[in-house]
Amino acid sequence: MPKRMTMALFSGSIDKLTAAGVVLTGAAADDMDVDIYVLLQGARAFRKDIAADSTKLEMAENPQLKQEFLDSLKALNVNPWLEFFRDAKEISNVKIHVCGLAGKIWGAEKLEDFNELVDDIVGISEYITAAQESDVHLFI
Amino acid sequence: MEEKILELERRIKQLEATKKKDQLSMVVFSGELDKLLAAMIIATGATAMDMEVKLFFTFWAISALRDKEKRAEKKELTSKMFGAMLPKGTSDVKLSKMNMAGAGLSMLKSLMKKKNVASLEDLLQTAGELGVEINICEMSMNLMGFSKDEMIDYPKLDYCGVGTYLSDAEESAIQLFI
Amino acid sequence: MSQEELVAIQADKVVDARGTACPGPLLAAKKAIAEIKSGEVMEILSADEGTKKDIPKWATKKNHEYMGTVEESGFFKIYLRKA
Repeated sequence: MPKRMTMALFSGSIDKLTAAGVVLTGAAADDMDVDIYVLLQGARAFRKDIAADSTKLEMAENPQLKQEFLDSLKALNVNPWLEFFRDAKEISNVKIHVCGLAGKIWGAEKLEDFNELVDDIVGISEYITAAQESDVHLFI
Repeated sequence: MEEKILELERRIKQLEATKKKDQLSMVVFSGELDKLLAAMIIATGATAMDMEVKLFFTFWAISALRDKEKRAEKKELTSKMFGAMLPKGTSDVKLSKMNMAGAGLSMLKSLMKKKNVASLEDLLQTAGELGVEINICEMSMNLMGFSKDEMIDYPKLDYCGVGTYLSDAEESAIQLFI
Repeated sequence: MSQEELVAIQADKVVDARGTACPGPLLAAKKAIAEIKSGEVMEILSADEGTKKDIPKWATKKNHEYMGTVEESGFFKIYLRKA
């Protein structure tokens, strides 16, 4: 049986999304099954228009250093955050679920309101069950 | 009967394979004093409960592991500038909210002293003595433009990537991201 | 395996991941190992220090044989044999 990871992605900040993306890709390289539950702030980041333009996202820490942060990522050839999620889905069984309530808060009700990487819109109980059953559980 | 024993043996093996170690694995992402304090209190607390503790320092948290006294050599320009703008060491890190241009910070620090709460420096030292492992994310080191020779002297300090973190996390009973 | 033996290896596949930071090399290794046969040898080039610890750990977990690492100037080569 493959190992399972559950990730609650509460944050919608560019630095935390990048960190989450690195961990996610690592898990995918390890053939883990990953269920990502996109919660409050995260749901905003996955809204179609915002996912298409990373500059619309804030930093969780050191907001004044956003440009330096982005420049340094680029200089190191590190992918924009969304590409980590794309890569991970390509190589392993990764599912992205968005919390329905969180979506509504940001005015995104239907699946097509989100980036194409999102698999479905779910309620919170699914997240709790997945967290209970997984080998690694992170809240980011 | 024999079949039953075999079946039981198989099940025990399966259980052993999935059994978690009494181990805490924590991603320390934040570079803010209050969150770092929380992380280090949990880490030292867990060793007191006889748990193995493995910390994975990434992004902003690495600032707290820089040694104020040490100088770094050889850096590329973008990262050098980035590094210069980030805090250097435990005495330099700020509060997440209510920093109030430093007033909140000094209030917290004096309260901690009054109430005998260990400082971040103390907690790091205790953690080192208790055998808490610190792994630093190599990619973040490059991203922030830090070099290894400016990091504090800590007994179990090493550098790694996400693969090492995940291997530790998988076998840990508790996983946290702070 | 000694350094001389490692250097003498003719890998069945060479993956150059020097342009990428973590988790790039791990990802490249994972993709490339699917393309070789059991018993064949893969060589991964990386300049990301963290990878030195990461890839051997990952390989061992996946039951591939970690043969060793050779230092070059500014990068290193990791040798794996597919399980």
